[in-house]
Amino acid sequence: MMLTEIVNSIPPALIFLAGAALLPLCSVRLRPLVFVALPVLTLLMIINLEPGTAAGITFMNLELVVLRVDSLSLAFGYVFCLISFFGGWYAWHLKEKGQQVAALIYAGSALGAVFAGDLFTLFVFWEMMLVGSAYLVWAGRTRFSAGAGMRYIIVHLAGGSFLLAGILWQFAQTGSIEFAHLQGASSYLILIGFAVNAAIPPLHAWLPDAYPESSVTGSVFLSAFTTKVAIYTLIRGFEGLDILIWAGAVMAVYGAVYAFMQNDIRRVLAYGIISQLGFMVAAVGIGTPMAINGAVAHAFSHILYKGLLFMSAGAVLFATGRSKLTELGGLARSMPAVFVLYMIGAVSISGFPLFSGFVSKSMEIYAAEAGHYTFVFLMLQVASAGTFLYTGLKLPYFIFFGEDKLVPIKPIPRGMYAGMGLAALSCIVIGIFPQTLYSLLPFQLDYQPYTVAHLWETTSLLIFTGLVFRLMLEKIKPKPAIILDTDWFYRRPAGLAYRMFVETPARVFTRVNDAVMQLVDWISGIAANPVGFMVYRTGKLKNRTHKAAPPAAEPAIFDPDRYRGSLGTMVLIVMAGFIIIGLISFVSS
Amino acid sequence: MIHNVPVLIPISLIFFAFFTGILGVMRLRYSQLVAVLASALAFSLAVWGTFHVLNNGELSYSFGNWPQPVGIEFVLDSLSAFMLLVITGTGLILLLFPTKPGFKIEEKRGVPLYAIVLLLMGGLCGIALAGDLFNLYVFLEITSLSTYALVSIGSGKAGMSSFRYLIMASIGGSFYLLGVGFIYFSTGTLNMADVMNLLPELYSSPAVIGGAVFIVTGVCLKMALFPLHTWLPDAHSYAPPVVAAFLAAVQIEASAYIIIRMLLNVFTPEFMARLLPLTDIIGWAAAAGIIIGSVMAIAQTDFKRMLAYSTVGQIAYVGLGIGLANPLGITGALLHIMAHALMKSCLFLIAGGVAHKTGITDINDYRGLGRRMPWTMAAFTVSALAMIGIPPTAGFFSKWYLLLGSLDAGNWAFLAVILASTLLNAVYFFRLIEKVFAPAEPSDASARHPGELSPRLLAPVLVFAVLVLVVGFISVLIVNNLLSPVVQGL
Amino acid sequence: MKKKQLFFSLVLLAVFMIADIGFHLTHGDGWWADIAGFFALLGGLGCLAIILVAKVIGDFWLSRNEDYYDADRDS
Repeated sequence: MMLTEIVNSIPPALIFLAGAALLPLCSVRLRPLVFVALPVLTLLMIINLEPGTAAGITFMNLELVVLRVDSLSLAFGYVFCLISFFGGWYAWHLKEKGQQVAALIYAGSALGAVFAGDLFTLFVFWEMMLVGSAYLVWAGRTRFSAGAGMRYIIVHLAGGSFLLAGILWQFAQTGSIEFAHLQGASSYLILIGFAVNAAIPPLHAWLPDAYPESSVTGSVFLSAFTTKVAIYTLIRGFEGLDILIWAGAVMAVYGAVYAFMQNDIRRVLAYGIISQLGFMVAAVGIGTPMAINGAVAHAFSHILYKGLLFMSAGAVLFATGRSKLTELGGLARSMPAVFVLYMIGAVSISGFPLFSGFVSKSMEIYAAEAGHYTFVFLMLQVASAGTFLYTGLKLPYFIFFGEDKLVPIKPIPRGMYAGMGLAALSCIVIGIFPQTLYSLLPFQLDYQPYTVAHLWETTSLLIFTGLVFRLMLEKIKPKPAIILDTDWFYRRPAGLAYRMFVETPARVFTRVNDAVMQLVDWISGIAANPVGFMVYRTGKLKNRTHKAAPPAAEPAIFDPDRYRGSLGTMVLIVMAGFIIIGLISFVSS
Repeated sequence: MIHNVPVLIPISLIFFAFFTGILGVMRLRYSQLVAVLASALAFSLAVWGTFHVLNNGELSYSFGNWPQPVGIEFVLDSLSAFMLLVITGTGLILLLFPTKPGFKIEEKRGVPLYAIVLLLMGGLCGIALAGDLFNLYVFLEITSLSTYALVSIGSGKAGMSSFRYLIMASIGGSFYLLGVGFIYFSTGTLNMADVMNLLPELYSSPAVIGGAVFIVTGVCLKMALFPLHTWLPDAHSYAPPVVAAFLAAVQIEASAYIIIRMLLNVFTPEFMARLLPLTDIIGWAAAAGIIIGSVMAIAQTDFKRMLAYSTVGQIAYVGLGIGLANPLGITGALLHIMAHALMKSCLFLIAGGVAHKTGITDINDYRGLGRRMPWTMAAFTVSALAMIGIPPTAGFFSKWYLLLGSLDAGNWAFLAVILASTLLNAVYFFRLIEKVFAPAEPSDASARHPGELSPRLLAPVLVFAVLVLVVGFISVLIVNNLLSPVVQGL
Repeated sequence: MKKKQLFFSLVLLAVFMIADIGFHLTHGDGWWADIAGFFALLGGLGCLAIILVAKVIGDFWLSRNEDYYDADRDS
């Protein structure tokens, strides 16, 4: 059929990207509608994609594969459309063109990246994602947004540079840019690039730095795309890499501990992302079919329930203007719906039965167990308990219960409820009918999440987490402080580095220029009018307060301007250098 | 007729220069029209010539029908065609920019402004087409003289900057001439192809080496290659916007072209390899220039000055490509010439347009402009992203080739320099992007003059921005058709 | 109040452990499967550990004022 042929040769990303270009031309009323329609269209397109397709074009002597369809890319494609759809409802009230366009560019590039079959295409979309997401960080307009956005950009560009270097190196060595399992020295550079986006410590600090400063609606998109594309690329390129197992386990616990310490709601959730990513990274490292299935399933559900959590946090922020636990409390009474929706997300992420986390996270843990990675298994379990602790217990307690700070709220737009409701629904549906998710996974395995043993383990874990929380409640009050993380290393010295590497060379250059300029002007002054110059000089020496302009013969001699280019002297010096080189070479030849 | 194209382009431009000069005395506005027509004519000829070259190979025209090697020759080959497209195309769009904001000229009728501009373009085209060392010098000086005049039109310290620029560029030109003299004494001919043939026998001659050094050094000065770049920031900051665009986008590139031409067609790479590590020196100087240019750009607060230092860094990319002296490197250098011409022109026009409408020249005052001038700032973002090297803009593709070239040469240091400079460029451009898209406050400097640029100001800006993207997409076409034949010899 | 809660928790723990032994509810073949009430312990002690570690890191080492980074110069 003609349509399927067309569909199978165009990357679905183009719908979003075309939408991004056309959206500004739509009227204000029309824009949310268009925004929401785009993922629907894309989803229809994706459904018609046939696994095994690889649409390529030749470009710059490179065989590009701009569309590679298999169950792995399809799974990510579906969930990206879903979250864009939910996010579009959530952001219905948004009047700001910039954010809408940026979100579309971001989502579209993410789609492009997961359907890319070669490294060049991947890189193009990787960088495009950066542009869209950076805008969303800046859009938050908190006092930290500007700086956080800059750091976000620099860190990601640096990661992208490693990625590019690795790609080029691989291309130079093997002549291929195929995006498959990666090996060799060049793959380490690529791994660093992927690791930055996957927020693997110590390269993770950008995430809790930038995400809490992004806009209310932007954070929903941010949480969904960059990191999950990175997980996808890790699965594609590095499955079974042992070091990832340990990195992931450490990440999971690290994220959980840091999440627990935070005061800003969205920073808690941001570290929560890192913790959850740890599960996925570890699973990628384990590499067995069950583990990969687990990683994909977890990524899928995580996008949805993390999206829901950011949506609710955003709703709280929108309604109260605050996002710090120390400033919130007692909102259950005034925002009951948000509370309920939040809790659905929270119990999903914690792995409660009947919700999506229960049927997805467990696969990863099971894979760890099956592979006899006992210590990793235990770390992941502890991290799971921790997840419930900070997302399901501490956070809702201090936002919705606890000390009632009598915070004035303003009503939140209906679109937000719609978005949250849809996301919550998806968490429940997947939880009750896990087959809907399982049918999308790369490997068709026989995994039964609802076993007595699993239910029992999860229940005991969760109940006792809750008990400990209750017991320790007095000791866990939030504090208005920040916790230093690895970004200290480049943030603390930032001012110093700026002075060292930018201001000082600039000052040195201009001092040299000034000195040379002085010399040159003296020379030209003497040459132009020797007598007059001598008169002027002696006159100045006698009369220290002489400030008048020099005699007409030499205009603007002592122009104290800085940053002045030097005159011939500098050139002559370098000429001399070249001549010397020339002489040396001819003498030696 | 087609055979006359190589000479027609520069000659017609110069002719129109005189014609416009006369008109300019009477009416400034008509002179702009004539200038636009003249450059459109030149552009069409360039396009025609390009197609001919693509299909049939190089074209040459002998002045006065004196046969080679005695006569003066104009040669149109792939490389020249490429440069002509860049020069005439960019020039055409730049000339469309309205006079007052572009040149900061009050309605002074006495200034034959567009005449000088046409002279400049004619000189540049002549450089691209020259087949003869001395002829190239003539056009080089025509170009330089026009630029001295044009720079001095600007405000503030323009006169002073122009004077300094004049001194330094003259030194550069003199060095070039000196070098040509040495070559002439050694080989007895000025024709480039001839020199290439005769040179191998004379490799041991010190005069030839000296000649090469002088020529290259002189041109490097005109190209503003570090450390010979010190005239550039002043000249470009104080010159009027369109002039600065011509300088940064076209004239500097033409100087880079001269070095490439010397490298490929006069002193063959073999010469460089055997006798004189000139390309290595250029490469390392360029590497330093990239970093220094970017660092100094970060330190600036005046928008045009920031762009000027950025130019130092960007032209150093071209220098880096030259320094690599392998096919990929040269391809990258040439592609970057085209990309930079488009990006820089767009940025300078934006600087001019914004300054004209709102009087803003300091980057801190750019806050909130994104809301007030959405189209202009969209174009700015595209160009800025291109300067940083983000796909799918043209800037990315030239960097890709440069990176591949560095890998090919096994030069990890250059690779690291290019990647590091991406980050440095990102700092000063994204800093500005962030300011631009910050919410508009009533206390902004731009609040007093709200509203988008007028269509006449905006149109060339948008054209350049679109071209930045388009050239990015079709860069493969350009490389395969125009640039591969050029670099095959390597 | 606290003592009552603690007592209640320990009782509950005992219940879970007995249920575990009695019904062979936990599956798996590592050394941990044989410990009664393992997951309950894992949850409780694990959380305790997280809270304590967080306290130590937070209060004694890495906690700083919100303005620590001086409201950010760019880059």
